[in-house]
Amino acid sequence: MAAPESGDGNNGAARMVTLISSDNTRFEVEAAAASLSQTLQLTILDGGGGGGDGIPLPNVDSATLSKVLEYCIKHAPAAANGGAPNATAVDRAELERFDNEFVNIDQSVLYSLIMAAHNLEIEGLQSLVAKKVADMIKGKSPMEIRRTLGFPDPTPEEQAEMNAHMLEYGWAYE
Amino acid sequence: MAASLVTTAVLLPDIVVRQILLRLPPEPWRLPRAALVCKRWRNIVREAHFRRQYRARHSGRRAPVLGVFYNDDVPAAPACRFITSGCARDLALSPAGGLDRPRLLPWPRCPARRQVLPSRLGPRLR
Repeated sequence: MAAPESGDGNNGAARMVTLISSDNTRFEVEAAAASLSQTLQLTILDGGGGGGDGIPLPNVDSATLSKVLEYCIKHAPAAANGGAPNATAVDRAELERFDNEFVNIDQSVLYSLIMAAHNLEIEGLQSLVAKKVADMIKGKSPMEIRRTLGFPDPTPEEQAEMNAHMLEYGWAYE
Repeated sequence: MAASLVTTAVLLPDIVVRQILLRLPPEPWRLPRAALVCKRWRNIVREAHFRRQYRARHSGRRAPVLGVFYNDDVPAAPACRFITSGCARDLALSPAGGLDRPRLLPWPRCPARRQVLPSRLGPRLR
């Protein structure tokens, strides 16, 4: 209890916290990694998640949470350095390679990840997944975008509306 | 468990869709295309706040100059010319949408081209 809060865990073992997914799986991770989540950061600063308690995450299932934590663990050291100063070009290239591979996933996993990043407010991950979807749709026509992202076929009403807008923006179809 | 069952982008909340659309590259045709995807996306693209964010985000890249107006002040037939810059990727203002609503339309690829517009469309230069 008397341990100074300022210690970032460099002396001795790093502080661990437990996160509990919606399907009741417990994940033990370093506080520094979990703190990439703005949502969790305050709870963790308040000393939550330690011991047998665990922080319940009713919006995130275990498959998604393990993926999210994979990201957090990889990015935590760079984040602790305040982003860049000591990061070498090699480190940055390695993170970039990791990121590219990380989002090379099934769309259903991607959407779960997007929702988790949103709920947990993990800025870097939010940005990464949003960029991934933007890349998936760029250069595509509106219908292709709908198909790519798993929209159902447009209703007659939607189709009529699209046609009306085609008159105005038809050039965007090439 | 149900909370993470988002299997299509249709179910993504507006705030997430905004994050995605903000990351589209800033070519002039991207947002109109996105706007056609569905009504909700259209409403997002129309938000003044979204467009400010989009501009701010891409402010490092200069907006393409589509062309310039200039007045031909021949007293008998005042006209304002619009000259496309050629860097507009084949887009140019056209009076096709009615004279009060000039619109961007595809233009044959060429380095620069002149279009005479009624003078009230363009700014009067002195």
